[in-house]
Amino acid sequence: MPQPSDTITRHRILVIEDDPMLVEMYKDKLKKEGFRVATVSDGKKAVARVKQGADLILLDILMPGMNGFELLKKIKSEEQTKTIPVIVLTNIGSELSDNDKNLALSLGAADFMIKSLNTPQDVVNRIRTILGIQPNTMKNSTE
Amino acid sequence: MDINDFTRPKEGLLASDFHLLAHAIPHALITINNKRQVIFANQQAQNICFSKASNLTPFLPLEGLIDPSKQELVGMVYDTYKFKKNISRPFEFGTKTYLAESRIEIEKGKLLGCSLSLIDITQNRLRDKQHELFYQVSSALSAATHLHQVLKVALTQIMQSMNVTAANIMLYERESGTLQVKIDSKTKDHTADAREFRLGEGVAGKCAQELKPYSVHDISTSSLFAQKTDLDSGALLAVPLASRGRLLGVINVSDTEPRYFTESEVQFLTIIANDIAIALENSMLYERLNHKVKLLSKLFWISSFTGVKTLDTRIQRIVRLIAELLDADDCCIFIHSTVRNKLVLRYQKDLSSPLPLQVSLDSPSLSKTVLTKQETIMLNEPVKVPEVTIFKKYTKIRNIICGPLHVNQKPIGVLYVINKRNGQFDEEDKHMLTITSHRIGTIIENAQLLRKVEAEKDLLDNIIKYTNEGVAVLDGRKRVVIWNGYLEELTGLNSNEIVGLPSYKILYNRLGLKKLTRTLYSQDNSQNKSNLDSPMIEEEMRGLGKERVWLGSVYSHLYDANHNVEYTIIVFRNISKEKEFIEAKNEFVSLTTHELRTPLTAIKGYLSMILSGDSGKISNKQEQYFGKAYQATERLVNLVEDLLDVVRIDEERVIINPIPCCINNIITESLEGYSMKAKTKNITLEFHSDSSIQVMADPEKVKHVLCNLVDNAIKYTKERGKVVVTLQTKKNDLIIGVRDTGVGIQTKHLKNIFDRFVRVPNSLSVKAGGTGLGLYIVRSFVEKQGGTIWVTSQINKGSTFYFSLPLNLLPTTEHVKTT
Repeated sequence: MPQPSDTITRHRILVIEDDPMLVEMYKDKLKKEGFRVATVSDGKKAVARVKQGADLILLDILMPGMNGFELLKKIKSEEQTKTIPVIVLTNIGSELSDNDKNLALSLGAADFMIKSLNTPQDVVNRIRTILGIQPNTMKNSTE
Repeated sequence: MDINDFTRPKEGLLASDFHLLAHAIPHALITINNKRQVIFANQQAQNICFSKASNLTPFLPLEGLIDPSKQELVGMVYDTYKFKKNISRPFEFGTKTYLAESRIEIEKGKLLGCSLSLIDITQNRLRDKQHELFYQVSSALSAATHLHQVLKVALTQIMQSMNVTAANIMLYERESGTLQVKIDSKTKDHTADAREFRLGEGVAGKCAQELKPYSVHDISTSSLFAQKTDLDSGALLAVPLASRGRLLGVINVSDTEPRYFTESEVQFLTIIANDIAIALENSMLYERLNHKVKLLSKLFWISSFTGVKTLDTRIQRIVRLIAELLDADDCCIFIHSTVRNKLVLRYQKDLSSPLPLQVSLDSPSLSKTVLTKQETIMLNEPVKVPEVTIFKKYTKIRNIICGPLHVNQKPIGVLYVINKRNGQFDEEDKHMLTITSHRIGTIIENAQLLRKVEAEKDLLDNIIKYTNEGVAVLDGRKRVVIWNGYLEELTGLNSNEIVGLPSYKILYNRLGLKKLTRTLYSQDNSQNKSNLDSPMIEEEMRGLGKERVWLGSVYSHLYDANHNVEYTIIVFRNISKEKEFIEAKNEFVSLTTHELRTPLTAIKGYLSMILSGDSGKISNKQEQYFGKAYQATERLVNLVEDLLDVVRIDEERVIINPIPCCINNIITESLEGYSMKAKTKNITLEFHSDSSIQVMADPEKVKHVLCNLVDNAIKYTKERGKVVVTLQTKKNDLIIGVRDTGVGIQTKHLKNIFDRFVRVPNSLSVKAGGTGLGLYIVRSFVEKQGGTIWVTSQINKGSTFYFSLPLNLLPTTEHVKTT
């Protein structure tokens, strides 16, 4: 059972997601896993929020305000934010194509994940891999 | 010389019959068209008039053919054209004397041509020279083309040479059996009066009956004076006019005073009578021949036209001509109707005794007999023949000739000639009818065939033109032959502009139909013999502008006897609507599936969190139930993914990024995900790896394919079974096999197993679940990467799915080649 870690600096995860149910789900899971979580549900607002800093961003693509790919471009183009790893976590891309993954990676995303194919645990595992954190509990999330 | 001597021609056209006839008559006969070109010359004409050197081919100019010494004839013909009237005059060529006649052929005021005939009258001339006295007679007689002229000349000569007060000439009418006065010196205008004598009646009658001169020194005292004679008193001498024992008439001379005729007077008149008889016969024969030649040449003219529209008029004219030719009261044509087995009256000359409009061929009739036997029947006593029923309206039917119209044994109709004007039909008439009916059969058949062909062509043209699909036909050299109305409308290209052009100029350059053009031009003609399997080629047309037009095209070939493509028929369908529909459907599917993804994410996410204890400890029962809910959600998630893949495949949005990659890693990674699943079913997963092999492929897609095949293999294999992945290189391909020891697939299901929504029914499939989309997606992914997929299977032994991938043949990793 994972416990919030007090020993290590708690990492800040920014969840950019417009669906309230999913926001709540990822937030709960991440907190449970010991992360600090901030959420924003609008592309435009997210631009400002990103500037306040984060250790990793979970980014949705289809959102009001601004498309996730645009936002990703913006994040990666600004000196202040471009080093923040971004996991594109989405259910729909810009178009009906399976090229979204390539597009996201080419724009500098650390990874690309389809929400419905991955459990929150899968997401957490990926975040840990990217941030290079040892999980508190050894748990294989592969089903 | 008699027309009966003609050899009977075989099957054939009137043109040739006419030629036969024309060659057989003793005259020279030349037919010239309105351009003064010779279109026909019989043998006599060629012998008499033409230069030795001239080689007769049709349409040579007349003056070129005629012997230079006989160019007067050319002048005569030209005069005929110039004055538009018939000309006849005697010509002397060397020792021969000919009577030349140039006769104009005019139809509806239009000059068709001219017939030139030459009759040898040398014999008459020679005889005349022996009898100096008769020279003028004979010369006049032989030049006379009309009977009346002959009689007139003869009478004048008799009156001049003999010391008599009056003379007349009677002619014997065979039909009535009477002698009729045709010319008389007592009447000023030499016209005959109505007097007629029966044979044996009076002096002339006695003379005619006994065929010897008969004289009476005083008619008033003679016992022969009893009835009407042409004299009240005086002497009478009658001499018979006869040729070869056949009575032609009688010459009568008379004196008002009774006297005895001397032996020399009798002899003189007998000699003159001989000459007159010959002249008469000649003139009658000439007139008859002349008449027939005239009619025949007219028939020849009429039947040389082949138009359909004039058929009725021509039939009418032919019927009238035949009646004239055979000297009959009536003539008619019945046409055979194959549909109802009937004869239908097409034309009857004499409508005063109308014939039935239809004659059934089911019951016996003269027509039926004629058609069955295919020969001309002549009946001079038709009343006794019970089959002659259609003529019941004829009050007096004396004789009939009935000729079949047929072409190559095929009955066309029947031709009737009814009631010879004077007497009976003879063999000559019968023969004439046989000849003409052959020709008429041919022209009717030709006209009907032409009409039928034209009608069929019209129908076909209209079908193609108005058919509600685009139809284009290309010839063997792929040039456009037909471009129908629907296509004109669809493409805005007018058929007139493009027929005859190479098809690529239209299909490729103007319409941008690249796929179709490529297929048409790259087609190996020896293949695709069965036209049935030509797949529909769908592509967007470069259209008229605004609207997007999608065309679906299917084509098939017509082959000639040498198995070369003679025609290619392309059928186009406007599939824009279907395309729109498919696009709309795909959009709908993709939208809904995306919309499904989000709630599924939440369900799956929360369930996974519950199951991993994020919300606190759960009981075994709860774990079991939530576990099942989670599995169900997983199935739903996979279904949504499959649907999305299918839509991507449909819309050709599957993107393959082939890179050189090591197949070993991909297979190992794929199998790892299934080790748990295999273990729970006690199935052995086997893979004999070979790390040296590299392929050009998209690793993600290959993984998808492998996972799908391995998943299926595990699904359909019973406990303690085995799933083996094998590798095998063949030429430039790597063949990957996934073999199981499962239930196997029935042969009948093998061929469509890779199609959409196909689930092979078997004992395990219900339990195994699945969308029926997996193998369809797998096939698409394999084919997209340039590979193929196939399967072999044995019931209860297991199946092996194979797919090929192109090997990476270059040793370096530094090359990314995309198509």
